[in-house]
Amino acid sequence: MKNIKINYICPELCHFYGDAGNLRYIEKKAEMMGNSVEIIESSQFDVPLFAGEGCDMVYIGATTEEYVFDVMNYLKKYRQAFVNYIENGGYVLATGNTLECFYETITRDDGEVFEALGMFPLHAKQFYGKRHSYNVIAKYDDRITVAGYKNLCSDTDEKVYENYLFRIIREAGKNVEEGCEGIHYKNLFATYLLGPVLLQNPEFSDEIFMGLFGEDFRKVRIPFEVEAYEKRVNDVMNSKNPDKNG
Amino acid sequence: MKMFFTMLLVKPIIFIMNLLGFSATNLPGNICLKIFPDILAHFKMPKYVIFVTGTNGKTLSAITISHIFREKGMTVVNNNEGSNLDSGLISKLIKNSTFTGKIKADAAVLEVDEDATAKMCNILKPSHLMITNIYRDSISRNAHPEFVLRKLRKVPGDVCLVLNGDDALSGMLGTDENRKIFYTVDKAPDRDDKCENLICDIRTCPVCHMPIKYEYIQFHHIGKFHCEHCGFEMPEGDVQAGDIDYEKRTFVLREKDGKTTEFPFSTGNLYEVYNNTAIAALCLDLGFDGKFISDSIKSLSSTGGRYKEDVANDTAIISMVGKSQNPISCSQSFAKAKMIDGKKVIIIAINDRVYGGHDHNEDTSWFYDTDFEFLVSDDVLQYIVVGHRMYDVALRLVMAGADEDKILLTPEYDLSAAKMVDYDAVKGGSILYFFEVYFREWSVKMKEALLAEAKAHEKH
Repeated sequence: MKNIKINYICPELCHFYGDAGNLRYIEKKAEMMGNSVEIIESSQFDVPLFAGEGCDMVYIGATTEEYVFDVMNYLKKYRQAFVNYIENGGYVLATGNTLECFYETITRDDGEVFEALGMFPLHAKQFYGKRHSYNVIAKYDDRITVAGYKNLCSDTDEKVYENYLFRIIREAGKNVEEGCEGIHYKNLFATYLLGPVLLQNPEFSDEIFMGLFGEDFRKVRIPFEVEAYEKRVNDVMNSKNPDKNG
Repeated sequence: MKMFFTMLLVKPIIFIMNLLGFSATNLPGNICLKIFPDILAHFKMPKYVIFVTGTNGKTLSAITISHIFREKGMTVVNNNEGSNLDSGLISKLIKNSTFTGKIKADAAVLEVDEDATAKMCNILKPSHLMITNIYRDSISRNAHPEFVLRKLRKVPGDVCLVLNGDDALSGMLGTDENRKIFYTVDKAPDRDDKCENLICDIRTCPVCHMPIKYEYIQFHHIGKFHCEHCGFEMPEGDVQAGDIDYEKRTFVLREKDGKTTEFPFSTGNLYEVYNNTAIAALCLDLGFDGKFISDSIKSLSSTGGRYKEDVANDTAIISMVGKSQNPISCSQSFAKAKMIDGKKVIIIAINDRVYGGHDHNEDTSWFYDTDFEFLVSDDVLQYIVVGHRMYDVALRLVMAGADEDKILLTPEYDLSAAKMVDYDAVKGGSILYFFEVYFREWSVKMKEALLAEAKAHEKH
């Protein structure tokens, strides 16, 4: 039996889009495997566990266009400790626009440029007027199909780059020839996909759980999760829903 | 002249559509927008123009205000079909105007979509804008409250704002130029400083982003708090509700001069206390008497209410409606279900359909902002899940703690769910069926089917 300690970063800022479903899913899966999970919240006024007593996973949920700067500034205060944690194989899951915290810069809607953590040579731009909203089908490691949803007032300048997490197959009702998204570096998993990404993609989740739980990993399934995943993948593959606000 | 010719073209279209049984809610407005894009600015509006907006409660609030005005002997234009975007408003105004664009009513009480509110205020110049609340809404349209508030902040300074003083999101709207009336509700008897919902949209001070301390939370982020860092807190209500009595379904409204009036809230739901207090605050400002407002609300039959009950085979058959993709709306319905004691069968038909579209939206993330936990109890005998996303809803129920053996699935929006209910087992209890707000036709047929099946078991 393994006890996993997850550090939920800035829950007061990162609590949108049903993302907390990811943590509940990890708890449920851990319980079914015979393991356990302890979730410790670190607000923007606390020292994160990765800079102190340590943890097995850092979780950063999606946030708003204003709050992303608060989250980014918080992480920048502990930048070196965070870099060391990631370099030493610590797990990180970041969803939605908090992915951009790992970039070099985020340009606000009014044109002002803010330095982010600078861990990857990527740049994001915010645009408050339009909100892009569409479904995505992607491949993880060219093996595992992932279905997800994006809802953004920002985007990444670079369309193709190294250390991506997912290769895009289809988005906004159209097939995509060449495109990628997110960041995968060692055990850092960051994606623009939002909501309970793990719960919605059990095969992809297993890839993370295998490393996280190590020898205590067992492939377990919650009732209906496989059927829900397969149906959603099939629907998105056949959907012609465009980006409603594109 | 352009107005005259537009009317000449569009009024017959409305007439023919109505003759053919179509509601003509948006099409005439869309035609107008093509040939006369700024038509809205050319209507001659009546003396009273009232706007109602907010994430939840605006349709029923606008209907109730219209009813109060009518009780006063006034004629009213109200878009009670929920057609709250520019095309819908134009259609409604054309139907109720002369060929020169003069509105044929004493008052226009218009529900307006949050996205369109600022623009419409600048064009139609309402005297009052009542805002019920701002929450996170459907992700695809409104994403998060900050996104909605960015648009609402552009409301002009010459409109009087009727604001929810217990909602620091919508309650902070407007500038020093706006006259503001705040309404608040005292702590309900069963509430404390803990949020019983999954989501609470205010967790830091809206001014300085530092931690806040809630004195009490009514539901979600609605309640009273102060910031220990910058001292921010919402102002006292100009109109306050208190002495909430769930048994009698009444509360007491206190005006600024100390005058009190007993008000009804027929659903027994705290959300309705807020809506009725807001309505009272607005109508009092227009010079109506508190007792008259209360009596008018009392006399309003449940038009468009989101909770209806029938009985067959000693079993209550209760319909509950929620807006799909809107976690607050569905959570409110689920909270009502939680309050119903006894054995239950729960039928859920909340869809993933994109508003106004025919395709499906596969995003299910909002399920995890919705309080499905309110539906889970040992009293529930069956969960019958209907529709295209049935596996996702079933998974959500399991994640909420429901026993998978109690979950039955049916993919089509037909009436097969009515045949799956165990009527003998649930006798003496309740059958609750939740449906998406745009599925009213299905819900009517489902109610008929449930009643017929229940009565058939009665005979056996």
